[in-house]
Amino acid sequence: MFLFTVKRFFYAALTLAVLAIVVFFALRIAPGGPVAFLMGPDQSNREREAAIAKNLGLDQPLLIQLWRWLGNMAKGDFGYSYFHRQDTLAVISERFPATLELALVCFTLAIVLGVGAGALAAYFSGSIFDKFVSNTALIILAVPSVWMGLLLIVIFAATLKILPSAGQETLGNSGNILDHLAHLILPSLSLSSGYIATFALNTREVVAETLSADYIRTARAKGLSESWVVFRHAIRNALIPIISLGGMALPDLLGGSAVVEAVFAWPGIGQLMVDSFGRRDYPVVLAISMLVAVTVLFCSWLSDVLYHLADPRIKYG
Amino acid sequence: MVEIDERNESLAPLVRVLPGGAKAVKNRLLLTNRLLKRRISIPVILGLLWFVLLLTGPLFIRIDPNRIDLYRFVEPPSFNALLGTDENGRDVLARVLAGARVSLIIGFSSAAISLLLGTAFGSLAGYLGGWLDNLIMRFVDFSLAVPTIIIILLVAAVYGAGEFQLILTIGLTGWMPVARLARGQVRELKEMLWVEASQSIGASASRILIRGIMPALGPVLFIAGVSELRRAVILEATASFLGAGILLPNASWGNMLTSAQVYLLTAPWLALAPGFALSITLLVVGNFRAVVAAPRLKKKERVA
Repeated sequence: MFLFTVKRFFYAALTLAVLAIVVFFALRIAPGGPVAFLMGPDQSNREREAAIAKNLGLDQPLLIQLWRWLGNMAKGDFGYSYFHRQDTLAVISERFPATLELALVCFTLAIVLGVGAGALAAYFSGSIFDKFVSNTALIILAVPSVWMGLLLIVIFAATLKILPSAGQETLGNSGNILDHLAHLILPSLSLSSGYIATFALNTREVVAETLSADYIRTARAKGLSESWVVFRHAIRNALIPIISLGGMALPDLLGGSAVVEAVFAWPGIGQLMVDSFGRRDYPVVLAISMLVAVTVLFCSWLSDVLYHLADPRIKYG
Repeated sequence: MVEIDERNESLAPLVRVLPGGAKAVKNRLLLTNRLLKRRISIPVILGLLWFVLLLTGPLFIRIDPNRIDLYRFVEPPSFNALLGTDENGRDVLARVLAGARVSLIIGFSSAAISLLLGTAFGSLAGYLGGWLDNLIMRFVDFSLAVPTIIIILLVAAVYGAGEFQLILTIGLTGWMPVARLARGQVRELKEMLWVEASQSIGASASRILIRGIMPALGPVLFIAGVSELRRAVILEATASFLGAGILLPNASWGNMLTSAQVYLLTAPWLALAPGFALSITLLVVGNFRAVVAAPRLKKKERVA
């Protein structure tokens, strides 16, 4: 177990380093750069150009810049945002909580509603409820989150006028929990709908398959109570594919939130990401890429641990 | 493929021994049967009709989708403009059809790239095994989890937004699930007797892969291809919505939705038209997939 953790950690660090180098060079190969952006309308002043480049350390050879960046990052220093003129970590940590909030709410919704509806549909396989769940899920899957967001705004904000269509809270009303929740409903629904549907369809299939397995019949024949059979025997064995879905959904939600944040003017990291790419704000772009990569690696590690917990036959590592 | 044996015992020996046999039998039993005999249904016909309408629409609606007419600012649907006009007086129906063209071109091209790469990497990993298998699959596991939309944004910021960039990015980020699927199938297929037979008469690995195993992958790849098409259509719309795909004035369902955002209260048809076009297309594509996917294949795909 300990050895596996060490090995895993080593692989993760290696992946991060390779990824950091790839993203670094991908950004630098591209035409244009932060200097041109920072110079503004007067692009002809060569002295100023050189001064800005020197100031940002961009006049150094690429390899030295890469080395410095990696070294500083290892010390927890992500550099200074060219555009925000602030520490990169400060810029990101100002925006990250909103995105995390959205992503976690959506993840919870996907697990509770998706897995719940799927498991129930499987248990009452062939019933009206089962057909309702499957068909609704298929229809929802045909509505990508962008379009779902606009549709929800048209219905709930424009026509029914019962929910706000943008932002995280009403101006001058900060700290009001109800107001905050009302603002959260539409963005989280449009981001999570696709995941809820995917989770429901997959869970339904796995649980239905498990419920028809021989050992379930044996368990029932032994006279075990129905709830014991379902929760201890069936659900637990159906967990593995659900865990692997969940492990992939969480990092994906970070990308998806970029879209939903644009629709609902949600003050998260998505918009910052889009803008920073455009401004060639290297430190911010690199830091966000690392953040996404760490999330991906963390979730894949977490799902491996959960695999092991759900099914001890699967070796951790 | 085990399912062939289950369905038709008399053909099983043929499938096991002859590569050509496997190909012919597989085609007859899986694809053709499922499409023609069991599932040619009203939804399938309607779906095909939808694609025909999207593709032949411009022949009937002979309006330039980019023609600006500021005297016709945001008109509701009427006989002059069946789906109304947008904020520049452009015909919404003509733009929906132009967007369909873009969406389908990007969808099919990037799905083709994903299929090609995925099959190549997946079957190599599955057939050769060993460290190559390990390397490819490790890469697949990791990159499956990286959100594609972030990569698209990065590429658009660095190399500019456009149709070509979009096709390449979506195609190059989509081959991993296909590779997983192909790998699993190849690992199953290579244990068959005819592979051993071919090896014993001196057939090379590439010959066995290309002549023997590839044809048998057909149905699985068809389903994977449809999934890729679905994914590409969604990604194109999303990227264009964020300004990282098709740029104005050219029409795409995604960038039509962006412009419609401002008019959600006053002119909802601007959003509803491209939105429903997108949804109907995705429903049709999803239905094609369901038609061909046998229960067994669905189970395989769940993992991907």
